[in-house]
Amino acid sequence: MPETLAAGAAVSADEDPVRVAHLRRQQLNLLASQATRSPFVIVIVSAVVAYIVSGRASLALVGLWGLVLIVLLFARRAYALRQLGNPPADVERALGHMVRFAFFAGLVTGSAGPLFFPALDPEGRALLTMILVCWTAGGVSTAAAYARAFYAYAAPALLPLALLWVRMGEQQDFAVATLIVLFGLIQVLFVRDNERLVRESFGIRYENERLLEALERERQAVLLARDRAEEANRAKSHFLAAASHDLRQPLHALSLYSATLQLRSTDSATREIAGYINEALASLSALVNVLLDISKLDAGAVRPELKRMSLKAMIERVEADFRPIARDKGLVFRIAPVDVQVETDPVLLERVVRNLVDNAFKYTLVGSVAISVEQDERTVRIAVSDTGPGIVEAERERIFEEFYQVGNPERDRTKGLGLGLAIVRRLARLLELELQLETAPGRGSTFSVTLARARPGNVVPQAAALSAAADSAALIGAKVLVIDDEPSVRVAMRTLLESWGCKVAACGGLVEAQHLLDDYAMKVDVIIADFRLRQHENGIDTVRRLRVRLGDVPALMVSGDTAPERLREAKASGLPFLHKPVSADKLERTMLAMLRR
Amino acid sequence: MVMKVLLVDDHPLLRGGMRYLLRSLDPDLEMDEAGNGIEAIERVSARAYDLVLLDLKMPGLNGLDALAALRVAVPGTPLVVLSAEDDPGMVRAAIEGGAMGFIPKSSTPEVLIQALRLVLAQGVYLPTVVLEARSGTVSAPLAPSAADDTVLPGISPRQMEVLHRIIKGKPNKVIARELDLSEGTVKAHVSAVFQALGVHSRTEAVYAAAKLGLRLA
Repeated sequence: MPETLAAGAAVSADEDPVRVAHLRRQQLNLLASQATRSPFVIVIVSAVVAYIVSGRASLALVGLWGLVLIVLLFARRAYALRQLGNPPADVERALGHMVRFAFFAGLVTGSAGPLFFPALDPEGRALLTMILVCWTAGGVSTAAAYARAFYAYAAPALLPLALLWVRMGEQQDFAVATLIVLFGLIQVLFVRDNERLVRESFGIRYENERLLEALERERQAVLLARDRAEEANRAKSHFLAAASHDLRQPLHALSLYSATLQLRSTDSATREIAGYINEALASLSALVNVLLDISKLDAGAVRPELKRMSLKAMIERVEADFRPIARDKGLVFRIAPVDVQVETDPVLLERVVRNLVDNAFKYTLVGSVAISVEQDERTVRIAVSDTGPGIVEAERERIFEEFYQVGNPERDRTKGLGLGLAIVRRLARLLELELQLETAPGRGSTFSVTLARARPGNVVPQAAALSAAADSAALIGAKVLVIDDEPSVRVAMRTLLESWGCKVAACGGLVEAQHLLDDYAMKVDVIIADFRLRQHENGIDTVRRLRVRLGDVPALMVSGDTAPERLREAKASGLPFLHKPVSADKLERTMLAMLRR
Repeated sequence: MVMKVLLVDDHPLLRGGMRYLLRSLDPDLEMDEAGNGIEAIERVSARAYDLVLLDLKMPGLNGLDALAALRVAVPGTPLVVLSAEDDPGMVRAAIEGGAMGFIPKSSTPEVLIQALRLVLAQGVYLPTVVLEARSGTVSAPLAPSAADDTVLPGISPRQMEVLHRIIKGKPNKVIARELDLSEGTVKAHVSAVFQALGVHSRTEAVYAAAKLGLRLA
């Protein structure tokens, strides 16, 4: 094979072998799938050739030529199908076989010239030449993916034909031979370009796939890193929670000793020492407490208890606590006691406001600190403003990080721990408050939280409490039968109910209850029964059986059970159902509602 | 009268510290110790105490269970919880469980001294943060200036005696016996006192008492 032809299929040496192997496999696939289709066309073409030469050349020769060609093509087809169905390990070898198949196919096709030319008239020769030249053109599509296969095919198919024309000696025959060779060369050029296109498009696809794979790997790595970071954070929270818990024990003991020392010291020196110990203790306790708070918040152990509350009272409390600090630092402290109701966790919201105010006083040296409240129909915004140094853009986010303190790189403890805003941020997230900061260096800072107003439709708690207090008289003298298998629960229930003025009889189950009713001819106004009693006794059944005797007495189920099917069962019974631990308020309200009916 | 106190806490260091502190506050005070709930039950069965100081976090019989068990074992003895927790929900649960006071261990030495003084003088102590948070919901709080050791406006001395005992966690039956009243009368007094305080449960009465700085003589 000539050097230039081989170069068409060659790949540059610097290409990576994996990529070359991929390319070869693709070329084999293209070549093989073409080879599975080509025999059917060629059978038709060879039949046309047989028709042209029949009657002139011997029938046996034509038949043999056709048979050899068809057997060869179907053998190639079978081989190609096998390569497609079961990809070979050695692709180069399979490609080599395909090239050899192409060469023999070309040889047999091309042999039509020498075999049939002698028997044909010039017209027939021209026709045969035309058919054979077109035939090789068809080979372009069959072998285009792998140029070498085309060269192996086209050379033996066309060159004998060209030689035959040369040998005929006339000038115009030379011209035909030249045209045949030129035609072949043009096809070679075409196939070379085609192969380059195949290689390039394959290269692009290969790169794309590799990029996608790399991207996916990177994504996995990022996900893994995120999981690890989250896990590390959780581990940190748990460690902090455990450590601060254990730290608190000896710290509490230390408080007691220190308090004793303070009480017992008779000389001023000892009293002074006790004072210092107390101070050290106070900052240590504050640190441990705040660490525990943070780890509790991070571990999701803090559940907000939403309640309707008045902002005015809360702000006034905060003001009362910080007024002395304002006086000591010579700062103006303004509050705007707007009376507006919000629904949130009062304790946690107050901590948010306290921490913001504390922060403002810590950083403000001259001027003022103010708490203001703005409201519209739906929201309330509580803002804490100061005339402190303000915060530069780069530190806006960092100030909410743990232990970060602006202007305190030496970590002077008297300036606090740098955890106030870290807690504010966590609490804001927990309470779903919108936390905002407006600040500029030299122009002070305003931290604000925005929350929803309480809906005016809700009953004002004061009025509710009053009406409940008036109603609760209805419980005095009410006869209550308590059925619970747990003695301590019975005692607790009795104490509670008696404190409301109820008459209480308590027992452990149906049998005891019936005895009570028999022996004391007791009247019952309300039954309170535990859902699950001893020996598989069911509170609902117990109530039903007692109602047979007592008539339609109001009854109330109490249970620590939260299994869904139990809840469904209880619901189906139509009895009011309270979950343990039952709060006194709720029990009282439910009982009042039942007695009113 | 010598005051007898039982301290229930699993931490020996803390018990030691508490012993010194209580003795400093009241040199005549007698203090016994128990390391867990079961031991506490044994102690209260053997001897009558004027006050039980109870930690909520202990091995074995623990927390509110220990509180409930002690409540059943000695229904009349004032129980004050001494806890590392100071979560408002925990405080409420302890008071609902029958305690008449709650002292967070994390309090500063000054606050600890004040709280223990108050408790030894039969006062009701609750952490300030709890009282402040609740002020929005407790109806009609009386002005603190109206508080007196024994008298509240609208409450008779007899009703006051009943209130003291309710706050200590005594059942009506015990109160009736102690004051030589019928149970019905005790109940009537209870509802009258609750109405006067603007509360409708024992728990709220304890909170109100702490707010008012009530001493239960």
